[in-house]
Amino acid sequence: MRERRGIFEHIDWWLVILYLLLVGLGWINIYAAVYDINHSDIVDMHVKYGKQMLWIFAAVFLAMIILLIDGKFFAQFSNLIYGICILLLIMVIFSGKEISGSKSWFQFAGVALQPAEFAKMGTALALAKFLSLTETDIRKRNDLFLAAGIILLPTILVILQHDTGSALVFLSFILVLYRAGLSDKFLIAFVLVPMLAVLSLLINKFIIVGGLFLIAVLVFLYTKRRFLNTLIIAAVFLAATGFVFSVNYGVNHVLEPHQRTRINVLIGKEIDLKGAGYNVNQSLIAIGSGGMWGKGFLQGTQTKYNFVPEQSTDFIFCTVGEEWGFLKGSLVVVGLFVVLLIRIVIVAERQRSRFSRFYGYGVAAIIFFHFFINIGMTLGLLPVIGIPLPFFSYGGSSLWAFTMLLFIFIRQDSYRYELL
Amino acid sequence: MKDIRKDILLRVYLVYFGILLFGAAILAKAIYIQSTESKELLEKARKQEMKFVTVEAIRGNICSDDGTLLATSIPIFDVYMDVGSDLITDELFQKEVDSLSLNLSQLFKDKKPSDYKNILWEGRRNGVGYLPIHSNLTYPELKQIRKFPIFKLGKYKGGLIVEPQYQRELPFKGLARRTIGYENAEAAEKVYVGLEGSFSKNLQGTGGKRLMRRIGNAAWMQVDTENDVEPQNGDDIITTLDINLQDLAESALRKELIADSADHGCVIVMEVRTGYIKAIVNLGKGPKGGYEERFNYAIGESSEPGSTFKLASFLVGMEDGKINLDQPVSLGNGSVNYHGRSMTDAHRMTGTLLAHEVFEKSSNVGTSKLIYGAYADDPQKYIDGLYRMSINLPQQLQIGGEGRPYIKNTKSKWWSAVSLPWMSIGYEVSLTPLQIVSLYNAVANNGVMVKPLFVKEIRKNGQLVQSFPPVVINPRICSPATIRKAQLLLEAVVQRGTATSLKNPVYRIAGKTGTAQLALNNKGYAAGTKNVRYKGSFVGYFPADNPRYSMIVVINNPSKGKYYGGAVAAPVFKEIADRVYADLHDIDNPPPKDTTGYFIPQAYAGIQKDIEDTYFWLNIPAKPVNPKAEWAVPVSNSSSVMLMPSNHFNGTMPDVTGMGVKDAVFLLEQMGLKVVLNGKGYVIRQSVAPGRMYMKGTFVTLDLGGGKG
Repeated sequence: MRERRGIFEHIDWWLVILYLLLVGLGWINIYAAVYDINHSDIVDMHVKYGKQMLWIFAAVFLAMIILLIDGKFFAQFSNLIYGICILLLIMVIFSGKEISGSKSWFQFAGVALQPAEFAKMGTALALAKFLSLTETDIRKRNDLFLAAGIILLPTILVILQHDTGSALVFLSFILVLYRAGLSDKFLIAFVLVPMLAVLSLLINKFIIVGGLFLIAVLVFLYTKRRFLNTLIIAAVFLAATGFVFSVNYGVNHVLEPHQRTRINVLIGKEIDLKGAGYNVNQSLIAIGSGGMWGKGFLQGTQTKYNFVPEQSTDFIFCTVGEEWGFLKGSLVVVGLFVVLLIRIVIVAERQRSRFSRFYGYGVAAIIFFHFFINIGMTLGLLPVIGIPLPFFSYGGSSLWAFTMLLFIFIRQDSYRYELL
Repeated sequence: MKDIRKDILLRVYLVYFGILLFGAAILAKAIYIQSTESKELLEKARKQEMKFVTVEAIRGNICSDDGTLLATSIPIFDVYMDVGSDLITDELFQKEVDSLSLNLSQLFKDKKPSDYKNILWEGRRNGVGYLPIHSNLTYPELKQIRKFPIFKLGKYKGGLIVEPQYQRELPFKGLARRTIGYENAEAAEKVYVGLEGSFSKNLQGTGGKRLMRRIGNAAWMQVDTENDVEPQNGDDIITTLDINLQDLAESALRKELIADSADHGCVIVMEVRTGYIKAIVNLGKGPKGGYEERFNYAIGESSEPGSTFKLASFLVGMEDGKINLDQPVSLGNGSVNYHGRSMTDAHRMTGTLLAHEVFEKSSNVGTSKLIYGAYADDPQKYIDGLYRMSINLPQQLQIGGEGRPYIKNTKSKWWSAVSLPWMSIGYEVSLTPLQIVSLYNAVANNGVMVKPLFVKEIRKNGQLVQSFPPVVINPRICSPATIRKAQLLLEAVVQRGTATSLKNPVYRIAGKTGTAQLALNNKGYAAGTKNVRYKGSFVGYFPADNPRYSMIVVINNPSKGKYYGGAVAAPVFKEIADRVYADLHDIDNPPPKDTTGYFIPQAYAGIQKDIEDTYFWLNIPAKPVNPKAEWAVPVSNSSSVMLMPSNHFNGTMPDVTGMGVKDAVFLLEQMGLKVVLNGKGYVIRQSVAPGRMYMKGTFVTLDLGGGKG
């Protein structure tokens, strides 16, 4: 074991610089989104950019503390951290504060904290811990169920808070399981099942069932005609058919009307410019009106005048697109995220400790899911799911949670030299 | 082992590939939106940042003949709150929402403070930019609400959005309401009745367009552009109505209707020479028992006039030389039978009367005998005589809803053998009260029949747009000799006939009573039965020697026993006529005036050119000291006026005392000041002293007074 001389030794500066760039750009865009000539002071606590400035200082402070903590700490206490997160998730259901429909906030001394944001970190830690155990083999059914349990427990608790967007984020952990050796079939199913779901909403369900039957017959013809194969093909066909019908039923009878409308708007079955389609339409107008070069800093009228709702949180990317355009805005931000994600995976792959590597994949999965869903939503690629853009969106909870998530990983990485 | 390594490597590469693929997908969509669709989306963005709002024109006023407002538009306000505004901080909202709710609840008393609080919180949570707070606020209420917590921070920081609307107000409430008109609330579209309806084109003005640019959550700012269309406010309608006379006539009629418990009644007062309607009252029993303006009986209700029509019969008979006023008419036993149908008088009269006595005492038997005797062989000649006086023609009134006159022709399929005698006493014909009073007015006006007029001028900002001079319908309804005889007959009715109650030693009234039985729908006349319904009327003019006003009073279905025109309508006529005559006397005999002194009318300070023009038209020499000055103060000596230049544009507060309101407001508003007026007349005090430096947007209160403004 080597001595560590300072907290900044062996730190992956790539990740730190990417982090600082994203947080800084995020703040500039929040400033532009809610800019008010009467409160142009950047530390004015009456406006969001003033507050965000404070959150950023706190986040940097938090990052330093994490870098000071002993490298063994997180692997050691991952289950405890997970347990605390679960406890908080349960508590918030009973004593939380309701903010825009979701009962998922704690109010501490004027600051609203959302346990779900921190639960992602807790789950990533616990999952990494479980997968890093030498006796764990994800290809075994029992271990797979246990891993799924670690992921699904917080997922269900978040759903109970009516925060579907955050709950979906937990699905991204499948990437970690995949890296740990989960069968390809699951990943294929993970991609195919949503596709089938979308198709079953778009096309008449009997045509799809007919198509599925055709595929089943073809597969049957081109595989060896063994009894077991036939049985599997029949079972998959029946399961797919059942799935198509239940998606239809689920969307039409189980989902709440506003969720149904969001889905219908996205797949183009409904045009609803006043309701669910309004957000996306305004978002597209804002981003599109920025063009290649953007309107310039503080010149984004669409975002500033509240044509775009939630322009400082979930739709912050609109300000990027409108004021900076494609070349200086969208390309830069998307590029930074892609570089960040690839850097995380590279760093994860160089870990010697399985725990650190799996945790790194967890970090990448969560950031990737947020990044893709959030920007995809503002660009009209995906349905409107209210989750923030990591490091960018306004809000203390989300910024701190992502900071902790990333810096625990950076700390784990720097710790690898101490592990010799 | 090698397989596992390979598998893992593949998986890692797949992860890199996946990240790049999804990143590329996002960039592809972004570049598509920001390049290919960019132009279209930019256009959409521009469009929604700008909008044309229509600016409602302010509806013109309806005024009485002296300019008193009868109907006007007053601003009321709808108030919204941009409760989701980022400019209202959470701290402020949380701190003040309770007291704001309490204040709102106390002001409007329509919801509990907790209800207001819930509404505000919900709007806040959902980021509502346009939360309706309350509608139809008066200006004082608006002033109050502007002082409420949060709201007092103003339009942007306080989120207070105020939208003015205009509401029609009748300052005299029910007075002449049916003639002035109102918006028919039951109709789906905006439909106006009365003068509001028939002059709607002039009153409504034309709406303007204003280009607005969005400058905040729910805030829009006016953009200066040449495309703006300023609203043209509606023109003012100057009616012929005399508000004092109207008031007098209404209270007199109301009193009588209540005393008789009548169904409805009307009064029309018309100026003899011009046909100007000086008062028109229509009162009907409302659902709650009181009398109110519900239907324009005076111009709309065409019915059988009864005895007042006898004047027409006598005019035709005298003009044709068929009636000699001194010829005796035998009334027999007081009843006469025409083709199996008998006619009697209300008060049975027997023996022989002279023709003029037949008129004075209003004998049905006598009148019908005179006409039947003269025209039985050629009834069309009698009809032609009536037509000659134009009473069969609609009068094309300035107000809608005129009842059509109906004078039966012998060619009509309804013509029967008894038509002639019954027409002669005012049955089987149908006229509105206004058409009858027009005939009497023509007699008063020495045979010249003029059209009844309700509106004499249309003005825009005080400038005459159109005037409606008197219109002659028929310059000579019959010969002067006949007219003179008719005048004497009408005077005699009051002197010794059926309306002696109107006789007085001061001035003479000429007129005729009428008591008509009302035909019930299809049931005919119920004479002698319990259900008989009457219409008592009196129509005439005064002063008889120099007629100024003609008037008709009609009381429909009085139910307290008396029903004769002389008993129910004549007292109303007398009450109105007495008061009007008293006023006329003052007008005709003004106090002596000192004509020896030469006096120069004093003008207020104002625009030099205007003052110069005015003195020019008055033929008074006025000399500007500085011909180039824009503003001037007139200073007069005994024979001429000096126009002293008044320099208002040296960056200090001008002296506007002594100015007319229009000039003062124009001057100050042009300088960017906000003017608050107080009172009526010309400016006697200004809140910011002359010569002081001022800031744009400062409020200046002007106290008005003295003179009539």
